[in-house]
Formats: sequence, structure tokens, C-alpha cells
Amino acid sequence: MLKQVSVWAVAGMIATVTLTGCNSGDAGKTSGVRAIEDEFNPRGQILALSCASCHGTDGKSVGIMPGFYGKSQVYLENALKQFKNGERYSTVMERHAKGYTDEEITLIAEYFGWACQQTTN
Amino acid sequence: MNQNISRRGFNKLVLTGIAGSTLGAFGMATPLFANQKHVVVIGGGFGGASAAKYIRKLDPSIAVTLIEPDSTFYTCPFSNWVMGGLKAMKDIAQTFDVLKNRYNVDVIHDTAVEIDAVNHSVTLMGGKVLNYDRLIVSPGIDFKYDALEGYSREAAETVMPHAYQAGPQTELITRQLQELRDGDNVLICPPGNPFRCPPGPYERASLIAHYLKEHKPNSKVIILDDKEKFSKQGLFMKGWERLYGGMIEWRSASMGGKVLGVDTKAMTVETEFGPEKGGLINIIPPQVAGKIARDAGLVDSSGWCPVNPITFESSIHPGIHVIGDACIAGTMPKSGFAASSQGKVTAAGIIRLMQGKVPAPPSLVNTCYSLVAPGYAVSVAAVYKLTSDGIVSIKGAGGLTPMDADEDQLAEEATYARGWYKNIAQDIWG
Repeated sequence: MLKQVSVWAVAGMIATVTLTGCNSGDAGKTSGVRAIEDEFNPRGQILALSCASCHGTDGKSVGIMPGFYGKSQVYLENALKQFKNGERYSTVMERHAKGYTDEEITLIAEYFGWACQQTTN
Repeated sequence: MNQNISRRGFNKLVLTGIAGSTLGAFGMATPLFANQKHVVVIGGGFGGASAAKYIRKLDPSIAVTLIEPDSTFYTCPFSNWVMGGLKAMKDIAQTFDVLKNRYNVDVIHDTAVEIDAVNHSVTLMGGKVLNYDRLIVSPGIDFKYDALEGYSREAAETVMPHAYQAGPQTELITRQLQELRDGDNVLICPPGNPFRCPPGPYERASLIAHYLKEHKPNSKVIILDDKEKFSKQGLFMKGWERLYGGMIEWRSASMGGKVLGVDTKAMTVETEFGPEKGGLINIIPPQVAGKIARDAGLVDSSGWCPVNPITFESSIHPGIHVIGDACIAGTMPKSGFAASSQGKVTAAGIIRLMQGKVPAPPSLVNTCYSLVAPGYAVSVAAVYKLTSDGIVSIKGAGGLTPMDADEDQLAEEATYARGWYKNIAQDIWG
């Protein structure tokens, strides 16, 4: 019974994180409002620009590839790590994800979180 | 919890709004101010159009002019699908309206005829002279027509198309295929390495065989290759065996595949093992960097352009960046995907340089889908980084579709191939 409850709690958190869109992965933290940063990490940008060739500019896909625009930083980071570790089925994505260190994956997720904030309005 | 998030989200929206209006006041203006930085891009293909769009997207304070002769750019990727009857010309046609109207790129439909690397200017065929702070040259390839006796540009345009630049050449080869007499063979003659789109000739053989199987079952495809092995060879050959029986025959250079010359009247190709007759002859000649890159002295003795692997700035002429098929980019293949990846890295690098900052180390990607039949595709992928050996693919990442991939996975890859085209076209021209 307890196990059941915690599963739902986790599911609820994931849903919340996904729905928060540009709120870049700080849903689990309690530090309050995080200031908008004007600066982005240039390494994150260079790494992240590759993604658009298959997933659309800013992750706004117009084809069958999943779009990820508006997804939270936590969601992106987890998804990329799951592809990298072979925990998530893909045809090509696993082959790409294996090309990045965990640190680089965090930088990619951070950049899309930042970029999404810049284009929200 | 939801309320908290909403409040945070609201604060961010307000702050983003302020940032947005600041950008509107200072950043978005398109007129060329005296102190505004200006980048000129030569070539509106996968490399050049990507660079132009991404400079404007990432730093709208920089003015960008794109020089491209044609108002419609036909992509080589998916042009084999047109030959196989799976796509129409309009499906591979890209235009520059979004770059002009949404990204405020100044698109000039003209041809660059001269680059003055000392005075930082480009002269167009129409007579206009453009000054630049930085120049991006993305001219694609030219053909060494004289490498094969009897072959010429005129032969390509009338009798034996290369169909390795899409557009009229794609239409010509498609028409020739439709008019082919059942029982006559199609000869495809790919060059040695390096050349544009290494799996291209073999996807072409596959989709022509697909067309022949339906419409001219007594004809077959013979590939006369100037190589001993080719891209995705195992996957292609397995697919050919499964789908087309003996309809596709591949001859390596040492097994009679090496082409020495052509006879356009007799419709034959001369090989070391004698002449081979074809009803349709597709000659893909050896290649070099596009003319403007050669004229501007951007090439080395290989015929391609050496570049700095961080910013793709020419190792020969400072201030000029060369991207796409024309440049030497370590172990990256000459592909549309690679060109676009290089265009984006160059855009980010130029912005950093113009802001007086250090460019970030490059990260590049290539993915290439090849259709073997309508519901059957194979792919190769790689992620590239800079090492002391230059740009190399990262070990343990990338690779091919598994040889034991089942029908579902091959069908899935065919679906993703279509999705890839839509998204990369949108990412570059849309």
C-alpha cells in the first residue's frame, strides 16, 4: 500500500515537472524564485544546437520525431540519460546519447531550459 | 504546489517580458547601422542557410546577407526518392521566404564571382560589391568532368546526368528512367572517396531498382564503382538480397568497376574489363570544392578547403569561414546534415568572436538515413568532437542500424527518415 502511494507521488511529480514547461527543473528545490539568467553556457549552446536537426528548431518538431520544446530541464536530462543507458527504446537516439558525458547532458538540458525562457513571450 | 509554480512562472514571464522589450528596442532593427557587424554568406544550401538563420536567431544585432543564385533550392537528400517515384520535385523544393521575412536575412539572388580577402568584399555577377566583417563560404561541390574521357558538362546536361546536384539533373534522370526500355540496364558510376553523400549512389541504386521492379522487371542496375567498399555496404547488400533478388549488381574497382571513359553516342562506359552498355547511364564524377572557393584560393592541393576546426575559419584566408562539402572537417562525411551542423557551430563561433569572446569547442553531429525500399530504411549516426587529431567521431557512440534489425525496426527507420527531412528542412529554411 505504501509502495502504491509513493508510485503515485512520483508520477504526480513527473507530471508536474512536465507541465511546468520552461520552469527549468527547479520544481524539487525550495529555494524560491530563480532569477532569469541573461547568460547561457556557450558549451551548452554548442552541444544543444545539434538536436534541432532532427527535433526542429528549439525542439519544436514538425515531423514524427518527438518535440521537446517546453519540457523541463529535469525531464530532458532524465530522458537523455535513459537513452544513453539503453533504458529507453529508440532506433537512433541511443547512438547519439552515448556521445555525451553526463555533464554534457546536463549542459544540454540547462541550455534548452534557458532558451525556452527567452522565447516564452 | 501548483500555485507556487504558477507564481514562479508568472515572475519569470514578467522578467522575460522586460528582457524581450529591451531586445525589441536595440536588437531587432534590420537597417545596416554604421557600427553594425555584417556577415555575408555565399550559398543557400544546408550549410549556408543554417549559418544565416542561426546568426540572426542567436544574435539579431548582426546583419546577415545571403547570396544564392536560385530562388528555389532543391535538396539532394530525398532526390533519390523522386527518381524512385516516391516524391515529387515540389517535395524537395526549399525557398528563402522565412529567412527573409522572419529572420530578416537580406537574401540576394545572384552569384558571387570574386572575393577580395584583403579588403573584405565580395563582388556579385550583377556588379554589386558587398563589404563584410566576416564571410561564410558554403558553395558545395563542383565536378571534375575531365577525369573521364568523353564526359563533359554538356554530356551531363543532355545524355548522362550526374544527378548529384538536385534540380534539372533530377528531372532529367527521372525522365530517362521512365523512358527506359524494359530489359535495358541502368549503370550507376560512383567516384572514389571523398565525395558528397557517401551512401547516396547506393540509396539511388535501391530506389531505381524499386521502380524497375514495378515498371521494367527485365532491367537491372549495375554499379560500376571506383572503390573497393562503400558506406553501409553490409546493410545495403542485405537489403538488396531481401528485396530485389539479383536486380542490383555491384562491381568494385578491381573487379571491373573502374570507369575510364564514356561514349555518349554508343551509350557505353569503358571499363578495364571492356565496354558496358546502358539504357540509362548515371556518371557521378570526382568532385572538388565549389568554384568560388577555388577562385578565392581557399583550397589546398586536395581541392578542398582546410579550416580551423573550432570556427571553420579558413586556414588560408582569415575572416573567411568555409563550411559544408567544400571544407575538410576531420572524419565528418560530406553530407547535408554535416553541413548544417557546421553552419550552426560556425554561427555560434562568429557571434562569440564578434562579441570579443572565446568560441566554445565544437560539438557536431551527423545522421544519415538511406531508403532501401518505401518501408525499409537503414541509418548511420555519429557525434563528433575536437581532439588533438582534429574533428573525430566519439568512440562508443553512433554507428549503424544493427545488421539483425527486424522488419519493424527497418520500417520505423523509414518513418523517421521522412520525419528527419521535415525537421531539418524546417530547421534550416523554415
